[in-house]
Amino acid sequence: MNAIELKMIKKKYPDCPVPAVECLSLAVKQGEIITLLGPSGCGKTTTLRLIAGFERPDEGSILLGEIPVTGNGRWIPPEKRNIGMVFQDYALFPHLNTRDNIGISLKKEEKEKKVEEMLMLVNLQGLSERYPHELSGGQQQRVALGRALARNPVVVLLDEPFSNLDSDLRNHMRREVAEIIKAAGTTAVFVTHDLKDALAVSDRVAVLRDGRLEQIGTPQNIYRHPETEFVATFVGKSNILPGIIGPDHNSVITDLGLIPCTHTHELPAGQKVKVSIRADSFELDPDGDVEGVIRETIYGGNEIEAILDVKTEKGYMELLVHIHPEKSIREGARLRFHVLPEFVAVINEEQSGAEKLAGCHNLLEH
Amino acid sequence: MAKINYAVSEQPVAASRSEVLRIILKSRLFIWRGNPPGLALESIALATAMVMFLPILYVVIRGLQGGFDRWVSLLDSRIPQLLWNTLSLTTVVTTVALVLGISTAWLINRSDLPGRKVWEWLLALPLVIPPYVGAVSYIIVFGPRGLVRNVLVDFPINIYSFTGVALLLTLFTYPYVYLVAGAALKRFNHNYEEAGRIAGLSYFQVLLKIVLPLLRPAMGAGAILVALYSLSDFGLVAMLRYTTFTTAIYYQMGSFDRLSAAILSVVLIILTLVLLGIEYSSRRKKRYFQSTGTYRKPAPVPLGRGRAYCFAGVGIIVSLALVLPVSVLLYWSYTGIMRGALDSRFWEYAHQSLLTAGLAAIACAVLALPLVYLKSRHPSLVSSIYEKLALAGYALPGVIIALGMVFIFNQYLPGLYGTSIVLVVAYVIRFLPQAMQAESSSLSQVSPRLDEAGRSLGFSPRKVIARVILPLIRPGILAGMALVFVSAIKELPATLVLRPPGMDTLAVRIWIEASEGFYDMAAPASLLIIIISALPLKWLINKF
Repeated sequence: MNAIELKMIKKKYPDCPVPAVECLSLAVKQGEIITLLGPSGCGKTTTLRLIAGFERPDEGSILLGEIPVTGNGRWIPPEKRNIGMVFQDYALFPHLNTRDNIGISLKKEEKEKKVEEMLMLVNLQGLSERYPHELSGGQQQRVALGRALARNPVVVLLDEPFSNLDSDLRNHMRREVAEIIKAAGTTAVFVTHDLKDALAVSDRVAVLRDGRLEQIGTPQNIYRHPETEFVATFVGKSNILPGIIGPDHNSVITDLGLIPCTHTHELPAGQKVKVSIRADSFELDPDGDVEGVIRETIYGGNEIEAILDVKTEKGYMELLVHIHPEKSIREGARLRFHVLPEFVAVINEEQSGAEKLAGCHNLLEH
Repeated sequence: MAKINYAVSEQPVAASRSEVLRIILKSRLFIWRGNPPGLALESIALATAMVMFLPILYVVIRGLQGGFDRWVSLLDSRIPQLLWNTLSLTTVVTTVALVLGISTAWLINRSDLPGRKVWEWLLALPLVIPPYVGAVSYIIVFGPRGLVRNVLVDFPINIYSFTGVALLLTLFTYPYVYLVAGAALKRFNHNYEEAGRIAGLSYFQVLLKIVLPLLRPAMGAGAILVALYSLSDFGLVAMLRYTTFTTAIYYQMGSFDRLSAAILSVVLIILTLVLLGIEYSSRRKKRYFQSTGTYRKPAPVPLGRGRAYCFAGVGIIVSLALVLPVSVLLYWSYTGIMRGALDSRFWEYAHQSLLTAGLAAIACAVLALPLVYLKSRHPSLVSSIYEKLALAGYALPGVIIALGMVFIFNQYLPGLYGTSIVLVVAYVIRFLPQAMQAESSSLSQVSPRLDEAGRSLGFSPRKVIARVILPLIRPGILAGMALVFVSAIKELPATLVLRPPGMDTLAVRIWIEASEGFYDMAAPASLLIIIISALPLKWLINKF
């Protein structure tokens, strides 16, 4: 059963020339954690607010738990949708302590028991008397989560939940929040612009761009097999090259030579395509096919990011490669790599302008 | 899994009715930008706004219907003189108040004047003295039966003159400029001054070429406050027998010539609108943005040889505006109390004042809420119209409100005329904007995310207001109540006109007793009013 269904949602704000969300259709299974990922202004927060009921869509319909809440003249206000929401700044009620914040929506009879349950779930026992200003960022977030889950909502919505935390706390909270949500068995929709947040907690990731759904799939699929250039370059770092499908259907002929690729969409040999080669696809190999000179390196602790100048028939090409931090790489060094096929993918050409204007196209789900 | 619990909304209706309903609902959605408020909330706000605006509207309509002949005769006979009197007074008072206010603000905040910490709040204190109370204290000293004349019969200063009126009005209104300019100077980025000094300018040139121009918005804001105040002042001007529009309107009403009063009111309303228009357009143009630097307390400008003069100057201002009135009133209160001024009648008046002011304060705190909530959480053209209508009573003189209410209650609600309800309504019309300002500034600190958090937890908008908003804006509600309470206690013209027979407030008693020369009876009431006015002073000063 689908916990949330969005059908051809369109939302345009009056002062903006372009719609915030367009042709958006999405189905979220019950118990699933899905993240809406995209750059600022891509419509992800708008979508979240549409699900919550704080905005009304111009077109389309939304169903929660298979019950329509908007569309076709219906309108169920937010307080009747049985959702939970965690805001970016947590929005804890400053005049109430932790216990009253979590329990504010509960009836008196069940408040005591339920608050205890929530405190255990989010690991905040002993802090029930504290007020929001007496709690740390991570603790405030957990109170917000407990408050949102207290009513057993159909779905819990989280708006950039980790953006206010510093990086080491982020890692920890990503895992903890995901665990709490799974333990509660609730469906969850996250919104973030941070790739790591999305990949770490989600069962599926939906990449949005300019109000439209670019691609939706598991984190592994999104990362390994981007469908469009935008997804390839937004989700991790990638090199985009033009090429032709090779004769065995499992490779692509590019200026770098023959690149092995298992994800070719079964296109015919000789078809002109674009291929995305992730920076992680290159492995140092003294016998490798790809040879070039290191121009710049950036040491990142867990990897070395390097720009490789490769000489091809047509001139020079610049590639972004990730090298294991153990190796010591000097600028100017001449190195050879071979390409691992796991992170190479053929991507669709950009949708042409005419197609976009004509209406919404169907996206394949992977 | 939990189910969604809701009642199905928007049942299908019969075909033709549903079309009309759909259009109404759709246009409502459009007007409110997709976020319409509850009907109950909107109706209260609308009703309040209409009540606020109605008396003034009525006065204007009656005035415009006054007949060509009446208009011409007034325009020939009285209006030119009144225009001259009123405008010259306003201009002089505003100018002198600007000079006094800016120079004292600069001296306190930027110079090395000795005793700055004490002067700082002494200079603001005259705000707690209502101008007519200040006038009483000066009449006690300089009036025909005053102290001075008992000693020196031919004392040259006559306060019953233009100079006297202008001077006194300035003394009790300059604090508005002082506080606004002081706040601006405190926020001032002093790097600009230092840049000027490095470029070779003397302290005086820095003041003239850099500080004053950047203070222009503050100067404008302060000047408007003073100008509006002097345009609408009744008590001081009337006690000193100087005729302006407000006193003329009052006396016309007293001689039952309400039509002339209405016509004069229309002219005064036009003057006020012109002033507000000037303020509005100048506010839009002056968009100086100072880059905020790191906050460092700036080094005070040394006054050098001028220090003694400045000290003396500040001393004179404080003596005239604060020390003289307060000491006079203390002395006369003492003699008055010794002679039994604090009798049962006094406490009766005090009780009546407190009761009506208290009722008005509560009514304002309650009625301001829907208007303020609509403006903050449902911003749209409609909510700003409601807000502007409600502000109408604030800028305009109390006599005009009183006139409008006399018209309306006489015509439509004669049963209520002459009850204290009329008085409370008048106070609400005049002072609701003060409650609105206080609650609005509190509400602006409550993030809309908190509202949404409440909604996401199942609270209807009404419950959100009750459980989330109200507890958090309690300081604003209380501040608003305090401000309205004080304003209502001090109020004079509307009270004089509208009070039920036999009911006198403290302000009315001061007026009556001062005009009959019973200063020892007027003084204790004056002192009580000053003490009550001092209560919300801290909030008032913080607001600046």
